[in-house]
Amino acid sequence: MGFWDFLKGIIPEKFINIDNRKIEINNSSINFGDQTINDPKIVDNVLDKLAEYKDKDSLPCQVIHKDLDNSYTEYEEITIDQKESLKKLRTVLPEEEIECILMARRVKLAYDKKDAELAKKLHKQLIDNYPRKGNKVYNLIGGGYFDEMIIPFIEIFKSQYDDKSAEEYRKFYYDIIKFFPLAFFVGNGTTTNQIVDGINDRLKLSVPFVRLHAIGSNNIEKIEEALESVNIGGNYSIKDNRFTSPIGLKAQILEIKIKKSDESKES
Amino acid sequence: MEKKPIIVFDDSVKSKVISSLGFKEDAESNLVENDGKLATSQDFESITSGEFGGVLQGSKIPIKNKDSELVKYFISGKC
Repeated sequence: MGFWDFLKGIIPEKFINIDNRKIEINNSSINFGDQTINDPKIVDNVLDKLAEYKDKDSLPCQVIHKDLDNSYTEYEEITIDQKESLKKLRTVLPEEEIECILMARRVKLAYDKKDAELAKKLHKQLIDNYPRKGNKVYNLIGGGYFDEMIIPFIEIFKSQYDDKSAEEYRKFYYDIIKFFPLAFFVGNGTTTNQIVDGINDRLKLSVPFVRLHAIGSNNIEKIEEALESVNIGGNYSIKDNRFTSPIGLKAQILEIKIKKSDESKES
Repeated sequence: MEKKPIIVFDDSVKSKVISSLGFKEDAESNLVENDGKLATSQDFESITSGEFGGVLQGSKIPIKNKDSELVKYFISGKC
């Protein structure tokens, strides 16, 4: 039974508009978009009709408190928009990680909609809920790295590691979260000069390693060009991991790592 | 996933909504099913009438009035 079938006989036909999927009720009135019926009896009738579903497997609609109304709509929008990426993430990450990602996407959505007040509130909530990673996940999403890099790497890992792909991807993901912003993501909008600066800035911090991530031949070539211009020095070694998915998608994880003392002496 | 119809309620009608959905309250205001079993959230936690945030279609499990409950629902794949 459809929602408007559910309401037929309770609400006057003239109020039924199949484009409207939400009704709001309180103890004295029922509201559909910009139309309101002030009649407590109709509210009772809606609730009586809802009571007929007590013993059924499913309800004819979502029943949500007013406080959750906006949140519901926004999470629904994100889930529809991110349907494919969520499906992929579910195959490799535990639920808690995906919860954090979804909340961070909502922060971004609020900023994108220029609702600064809500965005700040949600941002704080994200950091309170996930003090060690909430802001990093938000920055990765906000910077476009999630969609351009972190999600596509799921397919790369599947083709590279078969049965162990989820385990290996989790290590990759947790390392990114742990070491971000030591990780550097080379996307289509990244220039070779930015890569050079990115490496130099990180090496100046005397960090144990810098990792560069790239997907696509053009981006891999940019890393190759950048490395020719960077003076890495003898204290660092380079580990260049390259992958190709079955559909021909090329990826690279390049690690510039500080040498252990015995390695330095040998070189 | 398609957008689902929604009934939004406020506090003035909350107790009636709780009752229509087949829940009662015990002495500590926890929601119980009609057969007396304690109603629990997606995390198997009890819910008081004050915390009640609704029921979502796919699961018929009551949720608390918290954003995190919606997040859990949307990533569960039940929607």
